[in-house]
Amino acid sequence: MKIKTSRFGDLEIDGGKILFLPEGVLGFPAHKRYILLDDDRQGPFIWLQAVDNPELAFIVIDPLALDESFDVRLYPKDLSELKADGMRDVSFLVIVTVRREEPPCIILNMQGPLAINHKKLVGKQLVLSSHDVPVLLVPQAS
Amino acid sequence: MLILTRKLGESVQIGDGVTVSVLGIKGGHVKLGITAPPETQVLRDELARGIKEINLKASRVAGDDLARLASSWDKGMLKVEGTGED
Repeated sequence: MKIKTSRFGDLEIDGGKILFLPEGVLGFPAHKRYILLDDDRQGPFIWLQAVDNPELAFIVIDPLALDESFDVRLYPKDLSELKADGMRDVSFLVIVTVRREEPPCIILNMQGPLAINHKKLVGKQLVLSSHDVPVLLVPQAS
Repeated sequence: MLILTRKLGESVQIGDGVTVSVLGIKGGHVKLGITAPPETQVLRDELARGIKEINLKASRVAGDDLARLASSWDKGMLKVEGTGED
């Protein structure tokens, strides 16, 4: 199917890969369908584009690409909202905020990672209390 | 909304396993003790609001930002910070 985006123009996407976030992303409750633009992935960075709002997109990272030990504890309520049978169905994405400075600086939203049931393509943004926030071991600059 | 008055040391029970106790009162601050089953998430109200604000900022990303970040990343020049790290 075709979608419009403000950053990338018209895109042809695979309708079978659309992620459904029943509550949306916090602050954007009206937009529930997203697509990961996997083909444009560079390093750990991936675009997460809203399907129904051309202007709404985020850069997300796959935290496992930065730190293999990344893990988040999910509550049974989260698993059931994600329609997941267990943790093996769930992967995570972390939203990136870009700071306008040189050299570039990014802030990873570790407090609110997106949990995605990659089998059923259902997701939700978690809100973690401070003792549940994972520390991401980011490789040091060479 | 149910409104209850509690004294220092008194508690309120909610449902089957949640107890909220007033442990201390000082100035404008009330110290609460919360006992809840492990499957119940207890969150400070302002957390979700903070995440909402971060999302709004993150959504103002430019189309060429990803390539710029990736290139800095490759050169080992990208500064990475995380929220929620003390």
